[in-house]
Amino acid sequence: MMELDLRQENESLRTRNTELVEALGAAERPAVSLRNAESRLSRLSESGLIGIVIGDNRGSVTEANDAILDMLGYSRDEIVSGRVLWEDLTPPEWRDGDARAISQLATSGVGQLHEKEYIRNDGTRVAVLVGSALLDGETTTSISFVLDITERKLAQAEIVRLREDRAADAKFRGLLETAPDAVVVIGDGGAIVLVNHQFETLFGYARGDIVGCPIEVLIPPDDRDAAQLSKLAYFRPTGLRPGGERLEIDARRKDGTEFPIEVSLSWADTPGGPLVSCAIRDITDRRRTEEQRSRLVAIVDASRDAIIGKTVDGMITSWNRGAELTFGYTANEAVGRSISILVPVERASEREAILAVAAKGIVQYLDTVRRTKAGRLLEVSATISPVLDAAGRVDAISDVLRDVTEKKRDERALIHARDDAVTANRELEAFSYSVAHDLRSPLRGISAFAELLLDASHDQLDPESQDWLRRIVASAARMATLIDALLSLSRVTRNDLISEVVDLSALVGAAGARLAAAEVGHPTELVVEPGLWAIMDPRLALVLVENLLGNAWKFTRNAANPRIEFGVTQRHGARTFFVRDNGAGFDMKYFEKLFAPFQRLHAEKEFSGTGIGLATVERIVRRHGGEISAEGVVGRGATFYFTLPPRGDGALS
Amino acid sequence: MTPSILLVEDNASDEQLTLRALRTSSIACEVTVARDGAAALDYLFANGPHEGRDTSVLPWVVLLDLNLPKLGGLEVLRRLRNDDRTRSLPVVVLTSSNEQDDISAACALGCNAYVQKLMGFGAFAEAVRVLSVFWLTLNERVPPRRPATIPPR
Repeated sequence: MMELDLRQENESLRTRNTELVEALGAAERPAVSLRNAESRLSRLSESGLIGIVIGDNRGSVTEANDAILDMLGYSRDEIVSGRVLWEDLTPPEWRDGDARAISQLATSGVGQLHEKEYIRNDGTRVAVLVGSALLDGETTTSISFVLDITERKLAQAEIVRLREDRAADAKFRGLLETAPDAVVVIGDGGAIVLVNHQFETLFGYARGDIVGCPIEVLIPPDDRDAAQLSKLAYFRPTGLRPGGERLEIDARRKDGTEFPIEVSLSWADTPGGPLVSCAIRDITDRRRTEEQRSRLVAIVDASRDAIIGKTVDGMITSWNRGAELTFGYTANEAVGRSISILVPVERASEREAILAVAAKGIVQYLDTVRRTKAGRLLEVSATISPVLDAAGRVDAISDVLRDVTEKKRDERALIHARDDAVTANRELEAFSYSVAHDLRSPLRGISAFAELLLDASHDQLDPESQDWLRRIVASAARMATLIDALLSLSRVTRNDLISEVVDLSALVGAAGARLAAAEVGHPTELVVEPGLWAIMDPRLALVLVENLLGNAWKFTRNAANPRIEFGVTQRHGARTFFVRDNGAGFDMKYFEKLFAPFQRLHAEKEFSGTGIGLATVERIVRRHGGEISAEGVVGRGATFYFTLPPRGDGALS
Repeated sequence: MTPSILLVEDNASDEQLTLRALRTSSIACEVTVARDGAAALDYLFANGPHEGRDTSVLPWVVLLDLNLPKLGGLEVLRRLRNDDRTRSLPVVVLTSSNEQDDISAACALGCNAYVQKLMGFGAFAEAVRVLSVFWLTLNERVPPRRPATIPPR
């Protein structure tokens, strides 16, 4: 629009120039009839288009038309009377030009057209184009034509300015496209007038889609923080900071996804109206980093471990609350000092070694001793991690130190207690072993000599005495059995475990066959689920199976159709083996006594036994990390359940 | 030559029972009794009270208890096997222990047999009888060495 105005202005100026030149040309031509010329001149003079002044070469004016008077703001009297000298109307910088024109006038009769300024009556200036000529036959009187070129000058200035603007505009656009940020320019009324490529990429809009849209399309609806942007876009705040206004808000892409942005707004007044330029930066990553950072800071702050930052030379750079609590130095006291304030003198060499390893980028875990401000020595568990810079060089070192003084003390106490318990247990086992053996020798004496006596004195003893001797022999035999059982029970815990895959089904089958062979008069149905294996000690597996099966065999002795079953089932979510019989069963009331050594639920006369068998079974199962339980009903039978975890839970070691 | 046996036994009852069992086994033999491990070694190597005894004269079999005062049966066995004079001397471990560890250790040290003392005289006597029949009549002995072949100590 502005350019169009300018072009029209130029056009009219050119027309007037032509007219002027024609007029001057006419004035110069004496051949043309003077009358003709005069009438033309008076017409020109009256038209008001051009100022006309007639005067002498000393600067006094004899005639001036209305146009020139309007132009200069003086009355005709003031000009013609000589009260105002022509020279005085010209600002000093234009007087040389005037002088040249006058001398030209004198020599050639025509003063060249030249631009200059006059000083108006009110002191302002007016730009003019002046041409002069000597009047016919005169040597001192001349006529000057003065054209007001104020508008032309303005137009020219505008053209220059526009040209500069256009250059600036191109530069601006270039700048816009190379800017790292997405840029949106908002015009008067909040409509988007300009975006750059980065904006298109960030928001997913093509330039053509978004220009003309209100700024609000870039903001999630109902977002109070984001509404701040549209407010700022419409109302330029007063008292702006020099860098413009900066906002952190959420923005919305074309696809509706939202993301955090930082907007820097700046305002500019342009001939086309006020513009708001928004430089937009996606701060998703920054937010995430900030969140991570604040989370990490919170962790570091809340940690009861001492977290200490230090340079590669071991100078402390950061010191958290945990470090204050652990070592007694405040952050102020510690930061800036060497980490050696924590290192006991006798471990001074450790510091250099740690720094040297950390400098290679290696993370170190070590248990060592550190000194508090008060001089107390702490046992610490330390993690020393090199911190790498972007180029992967070791930039700093981070220490995490945990005071484990008490834990270590507890640990030692625990280890001590465990060792004591193990020793005591071992002593007890050794004791019972040697007691059992030591008991066996005299017992063998009792048994053997009673037998010898019975044999040798057969004729001299009455039947009752003989019966007593037999009872001695039988009692000794029974006691020997008990001792053997006791030894086999102690053997369960005395020996180290071997882990092997054991086919329990095969063991049960073999034990059943042995029992059947030993008691031919006791036909028992044995149902064995084939292929049931467990990982356990094979010797103890044999003891386990023989005891359980022997137990079932014994208690089905009086059953009508003795039946023993071995299989596997799921109980409480675990693979559980079971041995079930339909024998004498037991009262669940006495369940507690079932697995205790020497506890028997049946009279010796009814079912003989040592009372050690089930205790042995229980110990074997427990030693393999398993569990044993039993269910029974008197007269209906019993079921023994046991688990053998695939890997013993440390009990195997 | 009368067969001879060295019985290493600290328990008086067991000694009595063993001697009685040997008497009833109808095999004539000479029995020497050592009541601890050290005494057994003194006898075999002719030390202490047995100084001057001809060490080339060895019993046909040693019946060795494990649980002995002063020097245990296993240690006695180790020393016998470490000495050229007694390296091939037949040693039968006769003990009340049937612990797997004891059996393994005794066999590893080179006992010639491991027999558990059974409860009741009948069973015990039968075991002793079988042993004496085997070692005193069936088994071929290593010929006694002549003194010249004894390596210098």
